[in-house]
Amino acid sequence: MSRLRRLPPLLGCVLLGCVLVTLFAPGGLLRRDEPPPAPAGWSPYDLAGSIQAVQVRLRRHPDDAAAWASLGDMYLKQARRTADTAYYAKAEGAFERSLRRPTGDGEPYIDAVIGMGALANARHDFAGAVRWAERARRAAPFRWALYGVLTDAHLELGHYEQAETALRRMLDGHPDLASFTRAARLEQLRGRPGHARDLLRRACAIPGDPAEYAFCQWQLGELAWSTGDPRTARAAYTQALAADPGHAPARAGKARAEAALGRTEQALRDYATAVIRSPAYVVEYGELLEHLGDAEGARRQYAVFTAQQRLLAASGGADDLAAGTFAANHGEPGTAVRHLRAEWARRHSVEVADALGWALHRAGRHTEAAAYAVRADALGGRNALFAYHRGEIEHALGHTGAARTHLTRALSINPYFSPAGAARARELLAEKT
Amino acid sequence: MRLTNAGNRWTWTAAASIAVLAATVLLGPAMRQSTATSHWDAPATTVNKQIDATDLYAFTSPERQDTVTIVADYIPFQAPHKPYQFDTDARYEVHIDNTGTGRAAITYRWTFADKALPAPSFVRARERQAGPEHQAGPLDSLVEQSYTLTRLRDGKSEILVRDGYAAPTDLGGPGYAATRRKAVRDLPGGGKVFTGTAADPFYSDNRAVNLLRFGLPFFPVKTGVPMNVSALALQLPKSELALGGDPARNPVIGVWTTASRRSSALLGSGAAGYTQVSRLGNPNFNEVIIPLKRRDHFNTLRPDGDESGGLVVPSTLDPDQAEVVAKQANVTAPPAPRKDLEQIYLTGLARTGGPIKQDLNSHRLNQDAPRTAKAEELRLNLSTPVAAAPDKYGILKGDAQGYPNGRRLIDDVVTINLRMLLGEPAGRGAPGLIAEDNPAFLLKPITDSFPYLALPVTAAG
Repeated sequence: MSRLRRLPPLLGCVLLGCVLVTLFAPGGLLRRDEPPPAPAGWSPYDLAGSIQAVQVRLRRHPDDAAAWASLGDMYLKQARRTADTAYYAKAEGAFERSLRRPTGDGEPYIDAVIGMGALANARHDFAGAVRWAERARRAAPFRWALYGVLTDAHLELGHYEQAETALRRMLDGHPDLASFTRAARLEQLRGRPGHARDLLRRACAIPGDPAEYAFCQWQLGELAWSTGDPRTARAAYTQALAADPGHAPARAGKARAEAALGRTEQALRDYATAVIRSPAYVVEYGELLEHLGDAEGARRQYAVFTAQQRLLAASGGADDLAAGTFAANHGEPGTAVRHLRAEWARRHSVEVADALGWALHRAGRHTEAAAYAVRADALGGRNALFAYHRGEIEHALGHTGAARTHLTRALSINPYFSPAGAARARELLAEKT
Repeated sequence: MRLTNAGNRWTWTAAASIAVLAATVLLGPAMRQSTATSHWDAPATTVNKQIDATDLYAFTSPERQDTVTIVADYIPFQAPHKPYQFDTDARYEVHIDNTGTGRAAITYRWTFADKALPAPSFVRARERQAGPEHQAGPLDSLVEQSYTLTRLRDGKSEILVRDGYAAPTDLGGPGYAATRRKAVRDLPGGGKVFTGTAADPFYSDNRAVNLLRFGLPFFPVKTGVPMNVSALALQLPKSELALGGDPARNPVIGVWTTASRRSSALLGSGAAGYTQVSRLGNPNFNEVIIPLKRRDHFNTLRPDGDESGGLVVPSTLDPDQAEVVAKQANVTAPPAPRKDLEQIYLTGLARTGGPIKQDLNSHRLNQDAPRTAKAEELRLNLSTPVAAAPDKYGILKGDAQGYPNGRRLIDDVVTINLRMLLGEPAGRGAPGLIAEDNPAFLLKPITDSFPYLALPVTAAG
């Protein structure tokens, strides 16, 4: 791996570009006798500018399959940043143009194949992602990025054995941040949070840029949160935000932790910041507002969610898991079941099993619900929300002993798992004593 | 260095844009979180900077000609004022093959330990900005690392340096020269070692980079990199490296560097051994000769498997990139099989070894070498006299001490590799493609004693 190969994938390029453009450009900012004002070369990730630069290149070299693949990747990134799914179509267009331009060996450019897989994952077409990743694996079994796409897709589909196989291949061939973070996820799903923490700590020691570091710290925060340790979680989220102040998932995580620690004002401020960056957090923001008695504020956040779902559906990217979960808690249980049955038909992950079980319970079908709640727990993961749902279902079925067991378990795993849910679990436990 | 025209600036912007693409596969849509459902997505392509071998140099030390200097650079593109760290879960190695079999006769291994808080620097920079309450201590002590240097030879390992000092970058305090001096150590047997941050000595011709890279997913990067790298440098007596301890009878050595990272078990099973994740011998070999799909594979391979491995030899004999470059430059590349490239990269040059009729750096020149194999290594003839007037185009301009006979800090390897890809020195090639009076030069001059590398670039220059 030497000079030419490493140039592009490196943050270094960004640093270089920024340092030079900002410091040395005519009329540059830097006076020779003082250190740079900001951390030197802090990368603003000028994605729009980068997209423009690739487009310029593609006007001159329209046959450059590599550049088309890069453009596709940038559009994917732009979709994430702006939460504007219109970029998915653009990414697809760029990847397809890359795929139509065979490279030296007459085969499609491999990173475009992997990019199509990443796009499929982003669109929740996990089966499609598996197909793309398998195609990439046949063509280039040593292109490690494909195993990340493959592992993620299998985990979302509930194919835990296949995910493990892909992950082992990745760990054996190329131990790095991408494989350690995924391994941590699988360890956690299997109920081994200690091992997950070790893997994430290793991942945190090797990032090459702030975004990677923020990702690892955010994951450490999520892990701490899920084991009922909001203090450690908040510290990790704060580290993530120090590296990347715009990291919305870490901001939302910090909000959640602040709320658990009783710092409500700070929690609300963090949520407000998080939802500006990414509307994915409006529902939990709304739930906190509702719990605090601000029904009107909550309603506004829920309206944002509903509008967002409509947009997604219109662009063909309906998220049945999100929509169903929302409907189960704040809407019409029948709608929730419909959404989640559709999702279950596509994939059998523990997350979908839990959500479907909960929706069925809300719709009054407790016996059926119980079967899904059992499946949600089948991997052995320690998930407070799943345990709470299971407890509620058992309660509805009149199984008082089992209900107590699961509700107690939920609170022991993470007593803060949900403001309303935890309160309700305590209530149920109290009323039965 | 100033950017004076829009074109130059564009190249930087373009380079930056590509870095962003690496980051694109990074963070997926927000993770499923209690109610806001989406999916989990970790980075797929990661920067992996810490274990990225960027350049390898090997040359006779000009002022101590009974020694050879080997420099392996890692962690590229370090911005001034930002400390970077070696991976404490990795082994950084420099290998010496003196028999020509592709096997390492001697390996020098660095391993690192943190002496203080192991938090990456970009965070610390933010913390410093946030206010005094975040300051954990003197800036450089935060990033100090110590290292152990081990020599593996004849199945035995011997610790050469314990608790060595790895020089952190120059954070602007006074007396950095003393820091550098502290990081240069004597080795038993008359050698020296330097470990730490230095100005990146790499430079190249912009047009050559453009051409060599065309068709690869990258954008041109301007010559001269005003950034730092983390260097592993050795100065060793030639007698320590030569076969049989005799550099006169056996003057040729092959050098490469690798980084291996400890893996992890999964769900309580599976190996957690060290896996080789980076390999570098000749500059540009992986990205120019090896096809894209196999580049990650090459990083896991050892030279002793090159001859029979089915990747390195066929790729060298018929590199896809030759055609792409030739077309772009409007010239003709020699037809396959490229026996000349095989000689350059896989066997070294010997009069009897292929179309390049020159006894230069093939292991065949070692009188006691049993049987040589094809293996990708940076080969150096220890007996080539130090050139009085070194030429940056090395053997292409008759300077036998230059690349590909080892690699000096002043060699313009990108241009040399480009010209060799187009047929020199076996044939006529396309020598005029890159103007030889191009102002491609080292940004910070190298020094005249070990480790030769300039002190780290600071934000002030």
